[in-house]
Amino acid sequence: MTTEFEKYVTDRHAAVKEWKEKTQGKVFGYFCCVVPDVILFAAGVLPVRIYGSTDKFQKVDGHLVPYGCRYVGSCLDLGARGVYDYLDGVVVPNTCDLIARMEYWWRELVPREKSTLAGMELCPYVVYINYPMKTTGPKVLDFYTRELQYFKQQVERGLRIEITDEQLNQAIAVYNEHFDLMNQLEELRKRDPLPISGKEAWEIEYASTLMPMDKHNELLKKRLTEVAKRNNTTPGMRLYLAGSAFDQVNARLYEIIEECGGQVVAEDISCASSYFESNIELDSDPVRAIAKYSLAVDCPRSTETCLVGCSHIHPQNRWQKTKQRIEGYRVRGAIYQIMNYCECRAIEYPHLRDNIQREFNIPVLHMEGDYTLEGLEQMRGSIEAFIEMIGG
Amino acid sequence: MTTQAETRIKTAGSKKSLQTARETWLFIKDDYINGHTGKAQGKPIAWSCAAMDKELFHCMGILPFFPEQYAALCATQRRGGSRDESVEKEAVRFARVAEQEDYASYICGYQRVSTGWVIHGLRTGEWQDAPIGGMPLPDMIVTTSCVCDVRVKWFEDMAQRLNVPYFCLDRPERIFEGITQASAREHEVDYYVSQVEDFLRFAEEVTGAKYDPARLNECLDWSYKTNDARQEILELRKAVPSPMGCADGFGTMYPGMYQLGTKRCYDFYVKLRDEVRERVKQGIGQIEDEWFRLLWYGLPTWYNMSIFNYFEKYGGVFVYEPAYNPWPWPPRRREDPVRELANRWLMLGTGVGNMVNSMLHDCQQYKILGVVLSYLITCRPIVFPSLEINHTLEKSLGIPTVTLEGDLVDERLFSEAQVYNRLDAFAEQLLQRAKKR
Ligand code: SF4
Ligand code: SF4
Repeated sequence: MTTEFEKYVTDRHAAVKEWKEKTQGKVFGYFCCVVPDVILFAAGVLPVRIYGSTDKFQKVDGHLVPYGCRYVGSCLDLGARGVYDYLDGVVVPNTCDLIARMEYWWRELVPREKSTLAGMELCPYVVYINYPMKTTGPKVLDFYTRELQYFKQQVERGLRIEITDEQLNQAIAVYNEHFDLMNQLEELRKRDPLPISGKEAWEIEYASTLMPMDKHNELLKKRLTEVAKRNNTTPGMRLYLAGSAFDQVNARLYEIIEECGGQVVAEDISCASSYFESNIELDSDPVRAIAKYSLAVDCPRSTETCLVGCSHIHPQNRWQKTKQRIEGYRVRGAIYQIMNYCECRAIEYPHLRDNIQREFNIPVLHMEGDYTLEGLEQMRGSIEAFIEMIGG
Repeated sequence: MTTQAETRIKTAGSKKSLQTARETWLFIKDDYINGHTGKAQGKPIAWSCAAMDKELFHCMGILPFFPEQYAALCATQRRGGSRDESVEKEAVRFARVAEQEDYASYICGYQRVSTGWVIHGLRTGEWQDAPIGGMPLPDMIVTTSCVCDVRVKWFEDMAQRLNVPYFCLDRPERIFEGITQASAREHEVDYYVSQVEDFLRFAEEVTGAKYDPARLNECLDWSYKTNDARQEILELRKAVPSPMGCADGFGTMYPGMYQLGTKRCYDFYVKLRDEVRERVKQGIGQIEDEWFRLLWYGLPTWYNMSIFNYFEKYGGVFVYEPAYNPWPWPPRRREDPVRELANRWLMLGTGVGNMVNSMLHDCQQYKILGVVLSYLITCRPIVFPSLEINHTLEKSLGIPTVTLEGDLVDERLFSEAQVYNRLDAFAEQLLQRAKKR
């Protein structure tokens, strides 16, 4: 039987359209985990993360050069083909070099009737968020709070609504519950023997980026009770998985790893709740609280302010988060699948690899991904050999 | 991705038309000598990036060095200064070191070369086994967040390897359609101001030097005058025949890009401007018979600058390159020089639409007949808009383009024969058009 979560994995477009049909609500697409989807949720909008597919590119080849991440290219191609025609708005943050440029391409290539007055678009369909590169340090939070206020105003103006503090606080409560539940799931993944497979945990996380969060919470509560009671455990060499953009295409890797005798128990895969470590703190200014939470999202492209005169003279954020994600999961090896042309991850990799090896004394496997099923299949041999090597 | 691992490019330097352009090398050499001497005397050294506000270093007596520029220099030299073409370029040697450490070959060549040199230095202690004796080692590493993600991560990574303090000057990435936009949003300006102030505090703590706004104003005065001189040069370069081409443009960018805010830099461009002005007055062009004019979009192939003279045999000249050139700044604001810097930088946008529009504008201004798009496999901000530029120029102005694949400093990604075949075909096409006019 297809579970509600699986429905979103197998046909997310149909599932979202069904929601839209039923509720007559608005749907906004967004890129990346840093986008404050909670503001959209507070506005009664369903925020859905934009993902790609394995389809051959049909519309973007003459626009996008081949030297960019294929995952983003694929998202745009789906957009240009009208597959995302159910979106009422798109949010583009300034995360990696290619994502930021979606502000242009989504506007230019995705078919849509524009309504203008005096040459100005009435409700901008694509909204850009200038997410700071530095996520800590003086005035960063002030800047980003103002940026999010501006974002909120754009949504309000576009939808002709007002998003009140009360609505924001209610939405924050729903999201905080989600973070708590996801943390409970993580605790279960620390267990040995393991009650839940990596793929199943990923599916839950993935679905949370596509369905209303309150609904997700309800389903997740039930699933957690059921998982906690499971007697049948999930075998496999316990592994940490890191890499670029794990949507339903790249997630095939979870299965391949399982088929090779491994099991992913922890990860850093640029999917939503890899980043649920912190809750949104209640504050008299909810937008500021959301900004603070969003800055804590551990995006590989971000950096931080360093202090002179203490040991913190260069950024530690990525390593500290990596360490937290591995600790306690009894991991025996780490796999990095970095998408071709994903430079942020490619540059940090040697440093993280060395640290993982030193701190946890486990081997690290590096593979370059091309966002195709064939490419993932070709990794099978290396993964098998890697797991065999760990098993001795 | 495929690399032509063993390709050796028969590189030649470009033929420079201008006398002043030949002085750039002396300028660079002096900086390296001063840097090494300064280091020995205990002067603070920073490694920084091309998009940093250089005046902030100069006003505090910090000597800045630039891994991007150093990587470009490594692309022009072989080990031990050898001229033997069977000896690989230093850029290739260091890029290999980085790749052996698992840095992917699609990462910007500037990153691979400089990081490779750092790894080599840390392993062997032989920092000077590198062109021009290497850069003096830094007391701090400072980058900006703008233009590309690479610099943030790359500088952070170098700081970790070298265990030196790191600072990222976070400049809000503005996206808009026009070429420049005079007014940034208030919170963007405030944020950038706070970033500069934070940097000044950081630099004071690391180096012990004191920030003095009067001194910054002096440096900004020099910058401002330099900017004026450089704009005048850009105006003069619109003349027919073209008095100064891309070989000279790229060949003279060093002082303006890396030593802005100093009198030396200003003097250099005044001299250059006078020389260009004189050529225009006398009607002297880059070549005698100018048939068609080209624009080079993107960054240069530093290992093969002779490409900028390639079309001369067909009567074609490269007249303009948008990269590294200044834009008209807002007026000076001596009462608040830091805010002036913020306003100056935040006029710039980095969206695709912005790049496409400026190309349309430049092609008309410089009377361009064809555009070479340097299709940098490894520099995403530059390569991303290329196809968009290609369609728009063709559609709006009927200007054809040709793409050249490669990296800026790693010649292994450059296929000489293929490139020249393509350029020959392009030249024939342009020549026919030019003759029909
Ligand atoms: S996978 Fe990398 S390149 Fe692709 S969108 Fe994410 S950060 Fe950008
Ligand atoms: S990727 Fe491009 S913009 Fe960034 S450092 Fe390299 S050459 Fe410069």
